[in-house]
Amino acid sequence: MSYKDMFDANWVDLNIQAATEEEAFELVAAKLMEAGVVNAGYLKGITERERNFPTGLITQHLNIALPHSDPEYVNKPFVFVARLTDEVVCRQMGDSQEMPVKDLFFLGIKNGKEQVGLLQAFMNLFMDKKFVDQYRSTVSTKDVYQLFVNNI
Amino acid sequence: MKKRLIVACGSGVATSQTIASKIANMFEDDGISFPVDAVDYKSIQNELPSTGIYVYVAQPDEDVLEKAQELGVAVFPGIPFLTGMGVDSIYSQICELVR
Repeated sequence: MSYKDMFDANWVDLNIQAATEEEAFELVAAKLMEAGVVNAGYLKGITERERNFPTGLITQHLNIALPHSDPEYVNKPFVFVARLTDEVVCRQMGDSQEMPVKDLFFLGIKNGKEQVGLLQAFMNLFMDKKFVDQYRSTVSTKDVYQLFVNNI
Repeated sequence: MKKRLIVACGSGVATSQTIASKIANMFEDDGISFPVDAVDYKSIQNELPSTGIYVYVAQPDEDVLEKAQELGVAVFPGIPFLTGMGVDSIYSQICELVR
């Protein structure tokens, strides 16, 4: 399975209104449940995992978070692109420092061995200033979907 | 020093594997032969005794750090390998240990 196949134009939401990271998780989990790509344990799985092992990353050009659950809650591999209208606080992977974030990428990892390159591919994109500038200036869901599919 | 580098994250799946393969590739490019493994943070206490270098993704607890110190395991942050921020200095410190 190519990483491109993990994206879907329906799984890009650039206008999420959430006051906290957990609220954003609830909204996204509901959409993923509806699409059938995760099971009922997903929201709890992702929330608890984030509490113990946060996924925020302060990269050179953009703060991002990459929430992911254990594979047992994922029915089908996916990436959900979530851009919030306002910043929320999350914590950084590794040192747990608090950081503001608006751009969350939910990684639905079903098979660690097969999808291990996904995270690296993601990081390569976000270390690339040109890509980040394009991503930030893109406002339509279809164009964001296309941007990822063309570059990942 | 034990000849093994481990990378530990919350599940031993996504992040630690990514960083482990990144470090393994960097070693390979630099002609360094040193085993690299991704492990689950939950089993870290069992992994430390057979480890020389511990690269953390999940923030280690105090008792884990104490145990590492007791065993003479060198500890480094792994996030720079993901974000690229500050990676050169950490990688060169690791290289000094493995060469």
